[in-house]
Amino acid sequence: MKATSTITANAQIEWTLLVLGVIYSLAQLILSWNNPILDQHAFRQTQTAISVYWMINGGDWLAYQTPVLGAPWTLPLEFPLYQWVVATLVGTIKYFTLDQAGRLVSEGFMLACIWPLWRIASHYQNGRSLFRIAVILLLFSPIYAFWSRSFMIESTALFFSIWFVAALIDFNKKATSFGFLESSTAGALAACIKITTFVGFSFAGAFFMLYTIYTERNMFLSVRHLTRYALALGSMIISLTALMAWLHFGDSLKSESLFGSMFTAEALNSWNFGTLNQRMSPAFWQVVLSRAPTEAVGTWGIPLVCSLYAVIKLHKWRLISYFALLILYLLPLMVFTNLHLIHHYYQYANSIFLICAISLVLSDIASKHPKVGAILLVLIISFEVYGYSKYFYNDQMQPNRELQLLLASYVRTNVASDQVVISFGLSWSSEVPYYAERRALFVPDSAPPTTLDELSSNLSKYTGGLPVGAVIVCPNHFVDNTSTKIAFEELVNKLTKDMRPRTVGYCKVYAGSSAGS
Amino acid sequence: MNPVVSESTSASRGKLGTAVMVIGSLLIASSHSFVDFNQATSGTPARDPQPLPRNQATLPKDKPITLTPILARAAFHPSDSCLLGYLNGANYGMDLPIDQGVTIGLGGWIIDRMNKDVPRLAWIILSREDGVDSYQAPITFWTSSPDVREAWGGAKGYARAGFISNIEIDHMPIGRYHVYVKYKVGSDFYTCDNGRYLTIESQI
Repeated sequence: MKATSTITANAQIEWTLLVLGVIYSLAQLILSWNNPILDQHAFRQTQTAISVYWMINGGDWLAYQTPVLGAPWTLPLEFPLYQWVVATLVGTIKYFTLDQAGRLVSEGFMLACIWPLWRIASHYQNGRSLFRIAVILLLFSPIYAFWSRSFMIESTALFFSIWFVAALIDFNKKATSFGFLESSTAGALAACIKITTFVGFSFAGAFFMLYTIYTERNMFLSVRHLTRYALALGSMIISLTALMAWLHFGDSLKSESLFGSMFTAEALNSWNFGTLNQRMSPAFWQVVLSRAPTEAVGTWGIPLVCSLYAVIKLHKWRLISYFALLILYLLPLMVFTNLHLIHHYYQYANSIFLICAISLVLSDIASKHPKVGAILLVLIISFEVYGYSKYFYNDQMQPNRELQLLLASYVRTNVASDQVVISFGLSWSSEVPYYAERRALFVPDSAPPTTLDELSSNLSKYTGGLPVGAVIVCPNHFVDNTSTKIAFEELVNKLTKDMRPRTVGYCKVYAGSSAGS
Repeated sequence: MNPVVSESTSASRGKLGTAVMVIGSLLIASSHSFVDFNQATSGTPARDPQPLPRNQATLPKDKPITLTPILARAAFHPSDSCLLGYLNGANYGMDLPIDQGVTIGLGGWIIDRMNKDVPRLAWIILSREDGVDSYQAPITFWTSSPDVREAWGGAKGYARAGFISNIEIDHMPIGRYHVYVKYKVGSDFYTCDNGRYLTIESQI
């Protein structure tokens, strides 16, 4: 009787913490509600936002524009479902700025993840407590609290990925045409939105099916079972086929622009997957064992202690589940190594598996010692809040990217909306074009002299026939070697003929009469 | 597996999930007909002109610094905790020519390593090579500098060590100037010199 009442009290504590977690997550959104999307990885946030800006200003919704690398302006990387939702929201509710709408939709998808998580957990013993603990740790997790309030597709991809697994599990319980349609569509959307997020969940689906086949090994040769397995496999194949179709479509558009060929799936292979040496490097294992766990739950010590507990205390299937979750955490890092090394927000895709593994241990402790379980849960939340304050809070609150805002402000004031901005030394970042609300041709430092010459010879082709309103020259590496220096200086001289220079920040901005008209 | 989730529950979830997808798709697809997208505002911060990091139009002219060696040691401490990295669209190497009348746009960073912070009183000094004229411009526009913070051990105090300084040099005589940073921490002055020079040339 006493044990039952303690477990009930624990459930109440967990529900309270879950509600606090929702408030905590929303608080991060509210605190940065009016800030520009320039905190961390501003490059990627504005790249997503600029596509939405041009969607709501007459651009195509499927072959969508990301006008930073010149005409024909398209550079489709991800399937733009998140962008569509943001565009619909900002078009419907005029009260929101585009930045705010993007943040809100991202946060909304994060909170929506609770639904498929509940579906998955409901299939397991002690699933309710496991669900509550996992959601609490997810909501307080530094990496999820921060990136869910950013202008990113991460939470959308995560939502559809978890939905895919939830749908697959329900389909496996009762194979119906609706279940097949649901799992195939969720998987296809997740894969097309962000394959780097979906990959861990496709493995999760495969693990689940292997587990199912194992438990049904005495009858799995029956037609009914084989059909179900085949359909489950089919939903994964449909997801991958949809991804291939999307990549083919995207690559055909990218190939049309001067720099777009740098971003086709084939060209990005080494950038995405990295090298074997990277996988063996101390830097990579520092990410796996320290940086990512710290950003997931505040300190790497928590998974370490949980793993020790798991080995000593968990019984067979829980122990297997625990290590399966750790493997699922590790697999995306092993597949997309370079991306995970360079971009710490990529761990938004797989930190959830680490959190679920920790939740499994905590729910085991809570089922045996409810009071200890509750205390440990609060302790881990404390580490998570500390981790957020240490790694994210300052960036969330302080101004960032001041130079880019100065340039954007200047361009927006001095360049007509139908003119193109050309830039050197700002990579191909969308920060300035997005906030300037102008189409741009930002020449990356990696552009060879032949590309600069091509640009000089056929400028109108790469500006889409639009006049050049300004040329931004920021510190760059074109002048570091003789061949690019000559081509760069010739190009700048040609572009800025009849324009007047002005110092903005520590860059030179040439504006005035058009060079490209 | 928990027998609480029955086959019929799983089947219902499949229907509900599919329905959610269909409704969502229809909402997005039909939004073109009920939403006037061209009226949507982006409301981005660059809509309002950003204050340029400009010093006053006329640069205060410093008295030439003439210190005895002992006084110099007492009053100034050399430091390597800064970088004058960028000048008018170029990486600031050693010596750059610039036309008289052009605004100097200088970018870089400064840190106070002793206190793991950023000095809040700092000046760009332009000292003519012949030692006759010396000019100073206070640094007032500080910027975020995550790369500096990371490179110097991650101290929170280094988060805004970057600066941008726009300096009018209309009235400054042509000639070669030594460019360095002076900053104050407590009652002590420090100089940070990256060996940068600037040659102001007459505008043709």
